[in-house]
Amino acid sequence: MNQTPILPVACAGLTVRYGRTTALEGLTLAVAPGQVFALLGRNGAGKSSLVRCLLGYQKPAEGSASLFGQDSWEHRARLMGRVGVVPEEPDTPPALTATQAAAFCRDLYPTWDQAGVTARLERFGVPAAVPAGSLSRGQKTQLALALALGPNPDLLILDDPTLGLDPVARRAFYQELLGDLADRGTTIFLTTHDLAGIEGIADRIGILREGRLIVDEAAETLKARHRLIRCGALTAAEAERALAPLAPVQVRTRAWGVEAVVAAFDEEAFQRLRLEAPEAEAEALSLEDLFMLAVATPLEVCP
Amino acid sequence: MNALTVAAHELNGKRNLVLGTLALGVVLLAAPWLPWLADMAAPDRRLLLALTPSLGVALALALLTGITMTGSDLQERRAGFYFARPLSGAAIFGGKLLGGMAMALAAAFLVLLPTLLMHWRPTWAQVPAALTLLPITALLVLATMALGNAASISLRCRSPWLLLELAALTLAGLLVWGALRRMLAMGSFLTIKWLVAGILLGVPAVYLAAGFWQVSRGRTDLRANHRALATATATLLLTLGLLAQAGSLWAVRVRPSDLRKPGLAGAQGAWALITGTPRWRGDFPTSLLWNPGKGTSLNLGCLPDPLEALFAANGQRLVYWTPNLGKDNAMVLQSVDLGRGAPTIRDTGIRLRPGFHPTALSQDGRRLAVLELQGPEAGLRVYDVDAGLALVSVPMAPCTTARLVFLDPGRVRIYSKATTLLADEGDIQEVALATRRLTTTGRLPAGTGLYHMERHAGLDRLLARLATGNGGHRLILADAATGAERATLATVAPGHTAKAAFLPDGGVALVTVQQMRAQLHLLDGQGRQEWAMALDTPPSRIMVLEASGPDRLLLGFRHLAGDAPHALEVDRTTRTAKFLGVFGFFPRLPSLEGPFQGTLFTRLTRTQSGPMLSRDMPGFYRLPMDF
Repeated sequence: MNQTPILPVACAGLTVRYGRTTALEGLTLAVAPGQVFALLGRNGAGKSSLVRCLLGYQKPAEGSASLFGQDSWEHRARLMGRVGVVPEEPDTPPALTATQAAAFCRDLYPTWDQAGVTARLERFGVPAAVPAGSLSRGQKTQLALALALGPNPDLLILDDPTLGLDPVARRAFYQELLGDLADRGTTIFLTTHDLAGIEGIADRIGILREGRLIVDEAAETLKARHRLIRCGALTAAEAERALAPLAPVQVRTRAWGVEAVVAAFDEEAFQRLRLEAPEAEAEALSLEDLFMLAVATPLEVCP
Repeated sequence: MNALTVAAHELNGKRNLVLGTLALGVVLLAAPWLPWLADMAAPDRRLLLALTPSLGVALALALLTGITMTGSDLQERRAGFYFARPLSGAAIFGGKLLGGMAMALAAAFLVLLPTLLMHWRPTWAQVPAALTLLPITALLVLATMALGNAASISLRCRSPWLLLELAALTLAGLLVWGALRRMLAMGSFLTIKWLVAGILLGVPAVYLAAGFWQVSRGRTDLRANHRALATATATLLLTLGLLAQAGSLWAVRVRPSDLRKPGLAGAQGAWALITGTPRWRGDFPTSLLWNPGKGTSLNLGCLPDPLEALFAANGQRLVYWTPNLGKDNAMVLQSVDLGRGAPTIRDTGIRLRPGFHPTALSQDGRRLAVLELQGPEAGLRVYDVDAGLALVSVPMAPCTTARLVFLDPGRVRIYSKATTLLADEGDIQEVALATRRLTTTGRLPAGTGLYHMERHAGLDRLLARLATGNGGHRLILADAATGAERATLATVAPGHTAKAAFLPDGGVALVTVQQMRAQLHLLDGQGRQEWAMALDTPPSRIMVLEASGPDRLLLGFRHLAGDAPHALEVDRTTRTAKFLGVFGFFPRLPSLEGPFQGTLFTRLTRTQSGPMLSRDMPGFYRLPMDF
């Protein structure tokens, strides 16, 4: 019998409004078990609203947000037993030391791994006896990550966790994340502006623009179907005609020729282009390029 | 369990603050050495000295915790630390509340501890009293925390929901004030205590419940918290206000069947004035106008003295005085027209300064005579009850006590005594209202007690009791206008008892108890004996002796002090007596008209024929007079 797996994260028609402003509109999304889903978007795109709905902090105006098949708003307290959260702004009470914060959390989770938390804090170099209010921004985030991983969660929700971290701290953060979760199969839902940081980490990419999910695709597929094609020694008119079979979504004229971005790269069509323009080159786009492209022009609107 | 984790976390975070209060307790030991506190050295005074700052510290910490328990986390966007854990909103708020309360109580105890250790040597009797301080302080702390939390959220957010809170608070206040006024008007002071206690407990409970709702629904967003808090507070406060209104309506809407141990203050026409304490309403005394024929009633509230209420002889009106509480404390005359339609209470506008004023109501109920006994305004004043105006004012010499009676709507008779001495004679005067002329018509015999007199209106005769000076007394029949003695009915030696009452035709019933022999005498209008009968057992006290019909009289008495009263009805024509039963309280016979005429309403505990429970009056027994 074919059994549908319970999705760690799912949204259906999720709409969030603040007065007359619509932050999220009809968002539908599903994250499979073990997936690392990176949600990208400009400031104000609705990422935090989505995270707030997923964590059950906010009741959606319409639609639903669910974790492990249960409504996040209704069953928040129960669901949080399986979820680790690293917030955008570290929220450990400033008077608590790392040890005290861990002691508080330890009593709340039956699966708490104190040894793991202690080891992680040592690796991060977070002092155990210093109140959280006196820690650096990076240390606070690392403390939050250590506390989030403490109960060995099935789902980790990270809301722009590397915001304000220096490159070293950012790298350490992702290394810890990767190293710790490599064999565990934990699902990760991540919002970030740190596109370079998640390159190679995220399995699936979602891009929000003005409250709508305009991209929701496996990172590999997304990258594979997008190409930057450079055609030197062609005039704009020639390039437009030659590139037409590849249906470019963006064409820019440069001093050296023309460059175009195609959203559905077709190797055969490209080879035919090369017959006409032998110097044409196709290269993969970085996540940052894809993001810039998405927020500038809609690549593809999700159904 | 999770709430306890949060509570322990809260307490642990502020343990240094709590321990710091111990230092204050130690400092207090030295307080009596301060010059202005030198008289506080006695152990009991030291305790008092320590209790005040102890309570102060508890409340200050409660306020501090209340203000910060959710507000600061929300404002600094740190509430997610708790909400990202497997903690329900109730566990978060409850835990913080519990932790804050434990902290405040622990701090209060630590402030008190040094003084307790050094100076308190409690007796066993003191321990329960001391322990009652704990729940009282805990309640105060909880209330302070809940109110502090609500104020903190409202002031930090300052969203338009604050207007809803303020509007609800105002409306609820008005509802409660209305309820209090209604109960004050009815004089149900004990119920007011309940209401005030309910409000004192209810308001903090509202804010506590609203706090739980706020955290459960608002979660990590300050504005959403304020919205949830404001809607819950408004809903609950209005509910509390409506409950107060409903409670006060219930408390003052008393029916005769609600009265415990009802008594009869008077009856005329179709209406009886009954008094008693309604069940489950704080035992406040109330008076009801009751029409047994129709089963309707009107609550007059708590009258200062229901026996001073006056029925018009034609049964068309009742007037009574109520205090104008909180204003000039004057006595205000209320009038209830009983003639037609549903009776309603009307403020006549007639006011008197507080104090004792003999009064009389004319037979038609339209005029009220009031005597001012002393002072520059001493004299008789007659009012038009319908218009609320003084009609006539006749100055008189001051007197100490008096009784008034309308002879007809234009004449008032005054029986008065200038001194308080019982042995002195009194005056009998009449005022003709048309001419405002005061005429002395006679003298009351020396020894006459004004409140031991009974007048027969038809014959204008008096039954009076005259003290003989040696502890005994005489019962006489006298002319009501002149006071001239017509006959001596009985001479009663000290320690013996006698009671006389007019019968409708002017005859007199007389009971004498002397030398353990009790006799009932029936006399004619001249005081001549018609017949007499011996009573089986001599009563120790005669409580009621009055006509229960043209040829019947009711005798209520106790055999022994402390006994339940017995009732006996005597048929004058057959010269037989019938034992009615043993009563739970003093029976009085209403001179009612209509289907219940001749019916004795009382709570019988035992009768010969067995009591009959009236259907429309649960709790009352109706004893039919079958002759």
